[in-house]
Amino acid sequence: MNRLTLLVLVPVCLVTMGNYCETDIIDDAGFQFWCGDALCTWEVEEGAVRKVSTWHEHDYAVELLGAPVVLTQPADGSLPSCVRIELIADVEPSAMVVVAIDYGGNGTIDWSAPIYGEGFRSMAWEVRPRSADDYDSVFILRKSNEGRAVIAQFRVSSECGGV
Amino acid sequence: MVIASGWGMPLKPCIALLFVLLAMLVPAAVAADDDSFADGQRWGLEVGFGGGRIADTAYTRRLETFGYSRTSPSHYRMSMAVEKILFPYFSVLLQTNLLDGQEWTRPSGIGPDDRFTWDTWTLDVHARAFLPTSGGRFRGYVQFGIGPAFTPSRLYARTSREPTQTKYKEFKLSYNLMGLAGGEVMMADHVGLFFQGGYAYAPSLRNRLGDRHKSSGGLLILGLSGRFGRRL
Repeated sequence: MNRLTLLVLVPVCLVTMGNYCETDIIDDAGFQFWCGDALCTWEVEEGAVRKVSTWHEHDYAVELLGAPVVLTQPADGSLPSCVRIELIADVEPSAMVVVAIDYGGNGTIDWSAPIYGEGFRSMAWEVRPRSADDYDSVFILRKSNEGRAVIAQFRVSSECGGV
Repeated sequence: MVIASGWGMPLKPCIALLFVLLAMLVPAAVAADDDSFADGQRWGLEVGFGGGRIADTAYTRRLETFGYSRTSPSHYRMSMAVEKILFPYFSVLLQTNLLDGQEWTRPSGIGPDDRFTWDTWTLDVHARAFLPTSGGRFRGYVQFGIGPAFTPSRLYARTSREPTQTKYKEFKLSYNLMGLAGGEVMMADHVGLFFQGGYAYAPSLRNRLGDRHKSSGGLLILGLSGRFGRRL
């Protein structure tokens, strides 16, 4: 999806769908959907997580407990030509947490970036996937070492516009 | 009672308007005989509207960190008061003020945006010292008040795949201190015009990370007053 397409689609979307527009590629960006002690939308592939509150008692985040921990969610459909990843996290550098993308869901990490910043910091990246591999892609959070790691938001959208 | 409104008016034109009104009305007040304000009527009702400004705080900066942006900055203020003059030049008031009211939203991705709103109201007891001009049609005053501040807040967020949001309500009780200076001119036997400006200090919301919001700041109010009751 190029910028011209977005310029057309976003206003149309706003007019036809109300006051919000669904440009997001994964659901529950704010880790708000909990089914008991487990996340409803995200898959815990390895390790353990728990629900924690952030600035508000009912604004939740996920804490990655121990190590290793792997949290994944497949993309909703094919990836656009540009993907914007926005993260809000409180992560000790020693925890060695990365955000990664597996294009095509073949088990290979094709793109990754470290997450660091204590006391809840926001981070953003814009990634241009390879067009041939953009189906069944998986977004991954991986923690490799012990240390505090709380992720408050992991938003993936097609709203690229410069980081 | 008719309500005079400075709703939405920028502060500078509002101040200029007050000075013009004073210039027109004060000479007439000075020329009269009786020097008790409003013929000594003991009771007063005041309703006013105006504007103010609240600075960003650690609390609002934390909201920004979590992806929220302010969609409704609170610039308007409202004030209501009941006054009883106890002695010449001294009165007490029960006064309520709207000090703060903000709305912040955050894109939730799929579904309606997350929304967080709050309002801060005060209920103060004020002590007012005033000095009428000769004839009693105008008075200038200073007042100081203290009392509780009430801040209900509401967080609207999705908690499931359903497109509906859950509303979480909280209520914060704190305190406020307020200092005001102003003036009042009687337009008729029982109706006056007042203006007042000052500063309110009101620590209000606190988040789970320890950041405190202060619904504090300068305010300027313009309104109408009604005078009645037995003479002093």
